[in-house]
Amino acid sequence: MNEPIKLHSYIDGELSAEELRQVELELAKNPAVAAEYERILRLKSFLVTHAETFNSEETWKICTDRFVEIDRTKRVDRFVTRNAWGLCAVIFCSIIVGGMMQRNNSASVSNSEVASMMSSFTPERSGKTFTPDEKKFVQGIFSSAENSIKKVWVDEVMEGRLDTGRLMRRYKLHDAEGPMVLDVIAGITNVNGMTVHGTDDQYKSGRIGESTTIAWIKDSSGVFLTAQRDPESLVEIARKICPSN
Amino acid sequence: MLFGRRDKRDAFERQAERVFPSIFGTAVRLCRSREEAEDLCQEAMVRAYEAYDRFDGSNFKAWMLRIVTNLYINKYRQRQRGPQMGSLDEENAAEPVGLEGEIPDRVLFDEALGTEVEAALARVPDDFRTAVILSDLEGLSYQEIADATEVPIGTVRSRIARGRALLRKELETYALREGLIKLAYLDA
Repeated sequence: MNEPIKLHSYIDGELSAEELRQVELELAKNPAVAAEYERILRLKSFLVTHAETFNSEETWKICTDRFVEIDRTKRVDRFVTRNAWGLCAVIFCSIIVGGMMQRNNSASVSNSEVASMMSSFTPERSGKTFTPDEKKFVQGIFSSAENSIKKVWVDEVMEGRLDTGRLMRRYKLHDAEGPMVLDVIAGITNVNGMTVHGTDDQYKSGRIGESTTIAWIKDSSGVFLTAQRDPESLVEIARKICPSN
Repeated sequence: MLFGRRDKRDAFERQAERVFPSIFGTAVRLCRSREEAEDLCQEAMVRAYEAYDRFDGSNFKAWMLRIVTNLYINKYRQRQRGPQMGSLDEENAAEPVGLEGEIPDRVLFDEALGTEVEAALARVPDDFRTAVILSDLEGLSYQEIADATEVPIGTVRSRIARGRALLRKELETYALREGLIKLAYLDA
């Protein structure tokens, strides 16, 4: 047979009708081709019957575990991809809201914030006459003995809210040495960045413009006494008007 | 979508589990190492699973064998050490499986065991071994083998013919070395 490859293709059923006819003619008339045909058939059959069977159960189990893992990963990927904008928006909003809450609710303020609060304060109402509530509030702040406060006079009270939402009251005071401003800002329990005054760590002092400010905490409110005089004299006044500190 | 994904996995697993012994056996025979075959098999199964949406639904086993063979040729074969014997692959370079007067098939085949057959097959050069495995053990058509190995169908024909002849020679060599048959058969 001129083309022995065709014999293999014949056995595998891969010949065209014309080639098939040629090979069958050859097989019928040529014993050598017929013998080769038998040998190929036997080899093929032998291979199929004698080939080993490999245990694949363990590998299959690993594969199925990986399919589950792939699905889980794809599910997470899909969720993240689909909701990427939403997740970004939520995170962004959380940052903004968190920042605002921190800003509004923080019990600590820095000295620069104090300056900003004082300068941006816009009173919603003011007057020289105390309402009963204001009187009560003032009495709370000036809970000193009559003779102590006699030397300090309250000229005006103003009230309003800062842009952070905190309630602020401003008392314009004066004594023999000149005017003073007493600011009481609700919801402050600590003032950072100001210098602790001497050995008395209740009072902290700092400068705002040309003035000196003394700060202390009373009943969860920050109290700030500001005047153009030295810190020691302001602390002395502070001790008089708020002796409970 | 969650249920769609689960349905897809179930459908894939049902089909894959049926053909997996064949896929694993082919991987072992191609790699000639069980450990490498496990890696090859797992990688091929993962690729198939991820590409299952593109399966045309015709012959799942042929599709899987194509993935395994492709992966073996393009990745795993390059890793394997030892000389690659691919130069025998001349189209139409076939030879008879047996010659008149050589060892009778009955003697040769009756004595051989499964491990000996696998050992003989493992010594057949890569390209020919791949063609014989896919054709005789897995029953793929020539066209499917051509697709899996990315060669023309004529090359597949010659590789199968040559591979079978080489396999028989390896079986004879093995039988002679082990004393299963005597040289007298060759002289007869």
